[in-house]
Amino acid sequence: MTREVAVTGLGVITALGQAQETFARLAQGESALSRGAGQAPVARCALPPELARLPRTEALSLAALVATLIDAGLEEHLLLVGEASGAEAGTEAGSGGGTEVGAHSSDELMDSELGLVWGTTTGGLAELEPLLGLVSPETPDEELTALLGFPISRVVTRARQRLLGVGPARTVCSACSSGALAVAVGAEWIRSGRVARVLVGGADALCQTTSLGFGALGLLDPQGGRPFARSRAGLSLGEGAGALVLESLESAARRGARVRGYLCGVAVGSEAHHVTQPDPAGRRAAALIQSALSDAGFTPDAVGYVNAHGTGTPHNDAAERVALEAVFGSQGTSADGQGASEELRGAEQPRAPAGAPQRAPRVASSKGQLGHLLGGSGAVEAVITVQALEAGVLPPNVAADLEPWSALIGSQAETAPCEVALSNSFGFGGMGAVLCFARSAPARLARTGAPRRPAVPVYLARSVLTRPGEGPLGAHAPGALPERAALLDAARSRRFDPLSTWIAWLTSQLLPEGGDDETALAHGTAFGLIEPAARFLARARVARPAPADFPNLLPSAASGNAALYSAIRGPVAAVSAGAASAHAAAHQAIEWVAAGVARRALSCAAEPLDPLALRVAAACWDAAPTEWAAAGQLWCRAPQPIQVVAFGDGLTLPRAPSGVARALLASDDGSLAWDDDGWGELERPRLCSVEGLGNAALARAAERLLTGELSQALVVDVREGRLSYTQLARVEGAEG
Amino acid sequence: MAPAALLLELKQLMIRELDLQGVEPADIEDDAPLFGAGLGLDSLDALQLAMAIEEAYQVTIPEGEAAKPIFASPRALAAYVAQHRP
Repeated sequence: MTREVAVTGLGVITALGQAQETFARLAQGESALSRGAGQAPVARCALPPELARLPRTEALSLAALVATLIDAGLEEHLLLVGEASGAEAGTEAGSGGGTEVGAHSSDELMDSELGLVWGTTTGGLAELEPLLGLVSPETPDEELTALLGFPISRVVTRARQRLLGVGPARTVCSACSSGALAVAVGAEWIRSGRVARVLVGGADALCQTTSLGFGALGLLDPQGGRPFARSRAGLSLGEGAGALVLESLESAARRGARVRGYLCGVAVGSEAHHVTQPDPAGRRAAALIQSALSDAGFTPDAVGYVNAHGTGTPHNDAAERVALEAVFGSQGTSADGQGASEELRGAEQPRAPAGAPQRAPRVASSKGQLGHLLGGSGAVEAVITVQALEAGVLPPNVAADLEPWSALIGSQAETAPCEVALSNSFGFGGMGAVLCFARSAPARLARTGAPRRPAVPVYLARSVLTRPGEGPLGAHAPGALPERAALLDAARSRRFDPLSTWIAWLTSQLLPEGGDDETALAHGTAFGLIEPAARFLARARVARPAPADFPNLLPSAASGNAALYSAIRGPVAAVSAGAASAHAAAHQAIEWVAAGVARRALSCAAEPLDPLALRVAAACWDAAPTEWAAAGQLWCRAPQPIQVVAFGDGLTLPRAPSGVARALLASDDGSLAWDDDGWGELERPRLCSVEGLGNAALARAAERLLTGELSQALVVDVREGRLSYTQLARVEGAEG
Repeated sequence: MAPAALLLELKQLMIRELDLQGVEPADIEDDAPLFGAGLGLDSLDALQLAMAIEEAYQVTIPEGEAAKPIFASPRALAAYVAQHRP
């Protein structure tokens, strides 16, 4: 398996149109930002009528996904929208195609399976907003269940219903780098051979909550976002979606696919610096750029173009410039010294690499024309980067008064054939992702450096499970959580909401010594923070929205806050897959370790947390959630007594080995028949918890393996007719 | 309102609004810097505090650089509020 990944399809929907039109209009310097009187400008998409009636995030996502599949020549995955329109909206939980897949043999299906990794920054706030008005103590339970139709993973669920042959699927959120994170996760799926083809991308729709929230933070430029302008004063929000088909070179060659470019390197990491402000010294950002290049095997002088994150806020653009100059040298800085501020220059900077390039790459941001698409940005900008390499045309920076930095492309697009380009994304909480694309087949380029660390075995190093009667949860009834100060350092956790408090607590239990650049964190969550979002909007109706509350509404807030608390600077993300979200987070953590992206990775989940979540759970699952689980795992590469034998997602269970083996069933949609696979009795842990359950089941399995009660254990989650499984084994002879 | 009473009220508001658990008004020095070294507050706290003070006292607090002298210390903040409140 080669390290390179082919891009064999791409598609976007933005306020400037679909992919070709968007790129052409960007190159012509057109801006999609509206100039409404009294309102901060936004970039709003026009949707075709057949999509406009769908929930907006779903409509944008489907537009990009369908266009991308057609572009890739993968029409066999398309189900006409009309055929699927009979599927009821709002019945996500428990809906699934368990019976549908029976017609195919599993081998046949796996061969043609299409992975799907989708990024979202807001978790679908555009659709949740109208429902959040329902949320009050007086709301009848049956109305609360409407909220269940809009989990964070809704787009993936709907895509599974509307596309054929979607196999492994995951929703990821890392604030404003979510779309790029999805691309990076999908790339690892290709590299590891998990799938031959994967659809990756992301989307977010414009909504009131993000307008109010970014406004309260003073981050919206009333004149419209002007990235890299001297007079820049903030960003503009937009909406849109972008998608790519990533494919192994072997698969692309086999089916004669048209290769649009190559994804050669990815890097994901976070700063653990501040919840909304970037590190002005750009240290982690520079390290990620360097890491994406190392992953690709390129030196900095290979890079001809950088599609910058470039939001247009004074701090973000300055920090990104510092990071780019640290990697590519500051030849691009004009002699008048008015580039990055003195304050930034004085800050500690990463060492410039040896053999600094002769010429800095050309730099531009698309956000001055498209707006900031949040979860859509990383994906749309990845598509623009591939298009720029393909066309040899680099779209401009449209602001009139660009800061003096000769690396910046001016107001005219440049015709400049280049071989290698980067797409940067740096979000709230310092969550970043950098993608490195090449125009030609990598073998034909001059490359240096060795490929990244090979895949390695993964071990379970620590496991935490709290349950009734034990630990800080024991003495508390549901809805009456222990005080934050009893769990965490009060000053360092000052702005944490209850979910962040729990995830930070779990993280600190798993990692008392704190994190580093090679530690990752995945937080499994199905719904994010419904009650805080409802409170934020309720307050905004009668008073000014609270700036400090807004960042905590994003699904990635809990993992971001926990990373900040424990100084975790590797990849950090919220991972969502309906009721199997905790298990999906465990898989994400294992993948990061297996791929060598992180030396160790934590997965955790805690649920339910707030009175609303308890009521919703009680109303929907006919079970009073009287028992809770908060659980997490620390996975690593250093040998430990418990090893991961297999993990994945499919239609059948792996066969049980001889010896004492047991399967723990975490969630069940009731639609599956179990084969005679040799595993012991399926056992359901008696914990009433929604997305915390997968981690809790893993923790139970770990306990039994450590005591020697079992030598092998399988933890299974069921979602939409597919099995997510993790097979663990006690390593003989190893001592805890 | 006497300056001392306003100062105490503002400290209480800060503790409540910024969730400074374990901090008493007496712990906050009248002339200590609010941001950076002093209480360890940051730009996000400044936004939150500005919002809360504007609502509580019907004053307008400018944004950006102009806000810095106002937030220099609890005493500077009290002086600004006392001078600008209706």
